[in-house]
Amino acid sequence: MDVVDVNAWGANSHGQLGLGYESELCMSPQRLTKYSFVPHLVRCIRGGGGHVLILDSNGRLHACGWNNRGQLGLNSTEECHNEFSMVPTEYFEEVPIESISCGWDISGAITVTKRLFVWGSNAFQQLGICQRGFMAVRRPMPVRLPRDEAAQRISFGLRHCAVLTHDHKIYIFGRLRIMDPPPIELDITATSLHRANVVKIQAHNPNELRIVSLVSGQNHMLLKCIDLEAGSRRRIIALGDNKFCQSNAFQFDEDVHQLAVGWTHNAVVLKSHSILLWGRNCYGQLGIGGFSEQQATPTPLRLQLEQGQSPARLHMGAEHGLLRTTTGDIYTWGWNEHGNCGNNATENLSQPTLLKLPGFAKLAGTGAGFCYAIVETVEEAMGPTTPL
Amino acid sequence: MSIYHDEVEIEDFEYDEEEEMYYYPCPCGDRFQISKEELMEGEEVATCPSCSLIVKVIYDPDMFKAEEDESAALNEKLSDLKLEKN
Repeated sequence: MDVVDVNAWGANSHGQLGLGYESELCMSPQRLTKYSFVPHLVRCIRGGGGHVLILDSNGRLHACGWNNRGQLGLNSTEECHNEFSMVPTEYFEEVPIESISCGWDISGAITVTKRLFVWGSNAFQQLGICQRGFMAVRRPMPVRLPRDEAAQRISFGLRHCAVLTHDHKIYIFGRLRIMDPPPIELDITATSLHRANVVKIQAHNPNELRIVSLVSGQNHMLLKCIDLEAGSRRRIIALGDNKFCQSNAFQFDEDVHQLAVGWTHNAVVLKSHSILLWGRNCYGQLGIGGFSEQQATPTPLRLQLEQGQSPARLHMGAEHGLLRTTTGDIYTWGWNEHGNCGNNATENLSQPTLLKLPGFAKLAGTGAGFCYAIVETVEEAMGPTTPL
Repeated sequence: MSIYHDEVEIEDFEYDEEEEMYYYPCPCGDRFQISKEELMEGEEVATCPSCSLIVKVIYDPDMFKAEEDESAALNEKLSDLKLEKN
């Protein structure tokens, strides 16, 4: 019999580890004992500042952690929920959820019918509402985009919400300071939606460039683009704050498979499975060995993995990183004050470090200062097992 | 390492009128905080109750040196500023 468990570690100041209590830190993976979902059906784990959303394969959403701005979407006024609850399906008009995203104190979901819902803090109008008395929205709220465009992806920074539409435009709600002049490849226009200020971003020449994905850091965004003439997916465009070189943009030698960003650092996973990182490295969050205290790393450097290891999925916390490999191992690095790396210590780690887990990691996720992993173990009773 | 995690302008903090406290997100998941009173006394370090990180607050001390009754008006001004920036 396979046993599937949920493990969590790191900062737990708002009960975001789902363990039934709040604590300053958990330095090693802790097994959850109560949850509203079935562990082997978990499809996606996303973390915010102090809260977590879990999406299951039935398209149902589960939430846990900090709720001071209603970011759990449970229509609850409690400050924290230290155990998981399911977000009622009626809030999404009984339509299953396809994808989810978390920001600092805000959350969002896109349904299988491409409808967008957001909830949580609106202190910077990042929910796209400009109205007194709407500082926080405590249950999922549908957002209508201009001309009822369908939402494809959503990402949240500290104070912005960015939505990529099906026709490859981006709408940004809330506060994101875009550098001046902005990237030449983009047309950026200020507009308004339901009286809230919105920034619209499109490729300047849509016959040459198409925006296909986006991720948000603290005060910056990375856009993955297709060069339509060459048919390649090698181009990354960056917008926003560049204090730590986090908005340096690049064209890579190979197609980009995955983008991952922390608060002020970035990573790409390329087609050949190499991982490149750049940006701030004061806590070792780039995992490239060493800590660069004064200067950020302006150009991408390669992450060294142990032989035979290949990335399945890369996740970034605010100042730490987690790599799940194709062999079901988990490596962590970076800021570790709250046990973010799970290695039973609080010293920062400057290199990917193998985490001791009781089995095969099927899935993982990170929030600002914490991590989650779904781990499958084979029970001994099955007969002889191969030692790891 | 620089002793500050970051330097943050006071306009980027969120102000809680009831608590008279300014807040800014900390990467640990909690929040850096500094009270209006501390700012009036010239303090420029905001601390996080859950971890060792600190941020330097960038602000004009004159704005907080004003008399008590004037400071209320200033805060209104500040929140207006915030609204404009949005």
